[in-house]
Amino acid sequence: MKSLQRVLTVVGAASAVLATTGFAFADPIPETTIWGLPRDASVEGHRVDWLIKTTNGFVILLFVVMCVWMGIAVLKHNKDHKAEYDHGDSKHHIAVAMGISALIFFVVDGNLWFNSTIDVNSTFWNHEAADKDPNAVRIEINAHQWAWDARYAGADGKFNTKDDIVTTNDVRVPVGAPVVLQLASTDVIHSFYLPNFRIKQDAAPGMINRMWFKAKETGDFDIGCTQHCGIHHYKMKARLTVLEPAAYKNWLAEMGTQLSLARSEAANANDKGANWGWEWKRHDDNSDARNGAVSEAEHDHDHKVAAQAGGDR
Amino acid sequence: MSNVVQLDPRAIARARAEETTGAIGMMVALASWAMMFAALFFSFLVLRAQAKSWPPPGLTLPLALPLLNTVVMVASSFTLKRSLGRLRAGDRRASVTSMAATFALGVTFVALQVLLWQQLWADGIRFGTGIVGAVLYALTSLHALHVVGGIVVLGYLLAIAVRGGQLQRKASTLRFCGMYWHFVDAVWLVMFVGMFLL
Amino acid sequence: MSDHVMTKADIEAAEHLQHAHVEPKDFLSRYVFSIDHKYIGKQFLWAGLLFLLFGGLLAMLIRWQWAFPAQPVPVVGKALFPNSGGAITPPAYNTIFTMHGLIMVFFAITPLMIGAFGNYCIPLLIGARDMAFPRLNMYSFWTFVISQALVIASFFVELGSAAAGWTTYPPLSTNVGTPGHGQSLVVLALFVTGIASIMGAVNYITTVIRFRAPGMTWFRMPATVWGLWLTSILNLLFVPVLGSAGILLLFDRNFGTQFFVTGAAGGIGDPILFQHLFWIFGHPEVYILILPVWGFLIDFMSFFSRKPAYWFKGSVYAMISVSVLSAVVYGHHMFVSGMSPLLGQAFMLLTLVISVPAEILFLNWLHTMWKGSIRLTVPMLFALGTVFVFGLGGLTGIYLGTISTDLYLHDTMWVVGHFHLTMASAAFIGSFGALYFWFPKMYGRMTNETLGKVHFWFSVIGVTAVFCGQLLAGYNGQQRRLYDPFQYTYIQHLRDLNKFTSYFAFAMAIGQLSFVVNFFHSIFAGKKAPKNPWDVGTLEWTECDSPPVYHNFDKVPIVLRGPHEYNNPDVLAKTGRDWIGQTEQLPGDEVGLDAVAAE
Repeated sequence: MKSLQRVLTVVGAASAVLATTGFAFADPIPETTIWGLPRDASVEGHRVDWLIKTTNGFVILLFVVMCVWMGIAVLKHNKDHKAEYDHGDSKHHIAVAMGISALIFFVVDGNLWFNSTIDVNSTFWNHEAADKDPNAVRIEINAHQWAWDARYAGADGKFNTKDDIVTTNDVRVPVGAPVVLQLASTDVIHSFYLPNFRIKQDAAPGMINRMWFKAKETGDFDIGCTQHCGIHHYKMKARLTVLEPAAYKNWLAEMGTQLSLARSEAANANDKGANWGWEWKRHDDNSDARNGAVSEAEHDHDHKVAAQAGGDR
Repeated sequence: MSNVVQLDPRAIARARAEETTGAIGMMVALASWAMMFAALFFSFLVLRAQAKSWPPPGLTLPLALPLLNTVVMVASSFTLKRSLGRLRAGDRRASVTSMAATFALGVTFVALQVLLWQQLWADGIRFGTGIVGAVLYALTSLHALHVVGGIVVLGYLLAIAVRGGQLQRKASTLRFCGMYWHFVDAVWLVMFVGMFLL
Repeated sequence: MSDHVMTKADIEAAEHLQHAHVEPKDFLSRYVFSIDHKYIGKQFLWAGLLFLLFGGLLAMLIRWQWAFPAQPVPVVGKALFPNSGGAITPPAYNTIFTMHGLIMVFFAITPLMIGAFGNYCIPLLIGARDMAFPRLNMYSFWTFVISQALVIASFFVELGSAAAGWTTYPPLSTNVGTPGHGQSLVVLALFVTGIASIMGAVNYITTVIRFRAPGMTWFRMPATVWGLWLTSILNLLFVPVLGSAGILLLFDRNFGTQFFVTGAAGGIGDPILFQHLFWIFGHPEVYILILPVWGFLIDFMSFFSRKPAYWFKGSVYAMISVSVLSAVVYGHHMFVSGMSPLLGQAFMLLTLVISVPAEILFLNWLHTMWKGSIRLTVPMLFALGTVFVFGLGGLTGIYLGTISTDLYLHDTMWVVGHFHLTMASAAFIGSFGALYFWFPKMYGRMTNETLGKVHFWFSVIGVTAVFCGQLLAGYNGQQRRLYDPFQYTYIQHLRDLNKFTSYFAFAMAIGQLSFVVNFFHSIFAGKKAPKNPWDVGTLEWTECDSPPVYHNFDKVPIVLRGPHEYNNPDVLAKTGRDWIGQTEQLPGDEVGLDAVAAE
């Protein structure tokens, strides 16, 4: 743990240096209206927005029809009106009822189902396509109470090696390139939420989840935790900074330089706390999701059990 | 010996109807219990499917004791079935004997379970020993708890019998106890096959 | 009981099957350990209303915190939070929203809707003298009281009560994530209340199967009974799944097993397994908490529009379909948990499909009203309010059942607004409507109509404002369960929205006083209720005094028709009334019972 602390101190110092050299955080731009979705900084988020807005239209229409219907009935078909004796179970009535339900189902629910299926399969859950993109930026995110650690592979392109760049609550990405995240947690379930990108995914211990997005504009955005994770769940905020590609490269290089200086004294190959990363999970890896960061623990555990059993016999 | 008494046919009809109501109630209740054990089995299967191996390497689960448990449990179902049959036929003595045998077998089952736990513990399987420990102890202890429940009801009926009480009146209670007991037996069979055989 | 032609023998058998209890004389048997379903129903009513008060006060604390973050709570703050000068702290806040949810779901709505109305109404409405198992009924109430005691006890242990959200997800809910006995006590309380629910379910299910009066075929039962019966089946089958999840969690917390413990704490458990178990229960649970209200609505819309329930069979089939489908849609609570896309798509499709029966129910309610002769009694106002609120809430659900929109809206205030409109508002407004409706029968007195209307307006306007406020906050991206949402930049412009939502919530809470005053005053000093103040045809109103005698019916009723015969021209012509009782013989009709075949 001490070596981790040292690494983090250096990271903090490096950030301070970088801040003064122009890689500073800016605050996200506040929203101005309560009547709309937050700014959409993503390339694909418009799909969600479109679906929400078209559904809004249908829903408002149906709700208004219902209210008008009830209003007219209450006013016109009041206690002075002569009620019609109708069980509503004639073939005609049943057909009309089923017909209206079918219409609403196929139009409103159908629209949702059809478009969401396309969106999810082609885009939001299509991690393979994102990962295969030559420009893809890969980041491992480790959630813990109550901060987000991010790990970049560094110059060697391999995760969990000495040249990795590790930040806390600070995720920087280039605009226009797919950013592929693999999410894990060391303690409880957290959830990585990007409101300005219309996307979230749980980070759970014992498994590695995937998420990807592509930014369409530069800027600073909040990252929220959206799964109750304990006392400081409300403060588990991180910052996403979208940079121009050149600025991003510079930042990576600078971070790499700073950290390599720090790493030589702080690195401890056996320090699990510092080296929480995992080998990047390939998209065609169909084995149990629950490998990666946990397999070590499980492996050790099995050995312990076997040793105990052998010892007591 | 059965007592020959002239009973009001309407009272008989009512007693029959009440018993049917009770049987339906017991079946409904057993559906609920079945869902609980089904959920526990579902959990066991999920965890087992995700585990690298069952049991973990270097460990073998005992077979003799669980097998003995199974034999005892199945036998107890037969004795209980016989007890109800004999009671309905008016053979009080044979019924009480079978009831007592069921009681004894039930107690034996629980005792064997305790031995099984001791053996598992000695083999190094503790509560925290991965999935094996968790599932074995949790499921078997819950099952044993339910066997104890059945034993308590049997004990109550035996107490009535021993004190020379009206056992015939409790025939439907014995029937419901039987339904419950056979269910608990079936749960054990599934557990035995799923956890110790496969 | 034969569903077709009744014979004299059938009727005599029914008379004998349902023996009349002798009314007990001693205090304990009358007022504490009563086996009378009517009294037990009232016991559940009181127990539920008490915990509704607790749950509501916890909600007010949440709203205070969002309107005035970290400000000392007025009046009770110093007493409740002595170490922080009266302000709510983050750990306290986590307990507050956790227990608000658990108390409302399990200790308020369940005893009110299912315990009180199930017990009180089922035997009366089907023509039975009591439940199938009266003593089991009594045990179920006292088991429930034990669970309530466990909940109260959990607040007094070191480290406080549960704090992992009502969803109790591990690893947060394990002894590592939430140490102390409070969480364990609460999980145990849930298990015990589950046992009480199942005892009740066994009773309700068996009673409806076995004790319907002669001629009370399944489709002549009031929809109220259908709703309560289907709810009981869901309770029976799915509460045990929650029970199993609770058992495994208790084992992890207290015996060191590793069903769900994982991560840095060691262990190779599977926290997602808990989510599966929880939601296999949790989704049917939301239907459990609305089916009785759907039943009330079908009946009340008919009773107070003075028209038959439109396509009654369709409504019943819709309720049955929802019940059957309820277990296979649960995955929509887990879209972002990392489940396989194929599984997610299957859940999405089924979730959207389950909206179809709900549409049928809506169309039937609306059609029942249309061209009716609507009497705006207090129960009818509440019924209309329920349809309004449930429509709004139900429509917001489709965004959550769709994966791509759920990726944005999951775990935001949109979800909270959605389930508060459907599960809380519709359930409570519907239950209050039922309470105003059956109050005269329960207590032999009428409630005050003006206060009832005041209660109605405060409640419906209140819930609409408060929960639409939550919907809007979620639309803007505000997450749920945040002690101080305004840490996030994209939420800071929602301060006023949250403040105004809180003001409406406080006003709605104050408005509930109109109910409290009305309820207590009417019990003791309300106008004496006639036998049938609503002019409806169901058995409790036509065959029983207000309140009924101990054994309900002097003679087991013989049912000739369904409960929704209003403005039948034949009846109008022969009786001059726009309604007819279920047992009433029309002048000129054949008296022979053989004529009463299935309609």
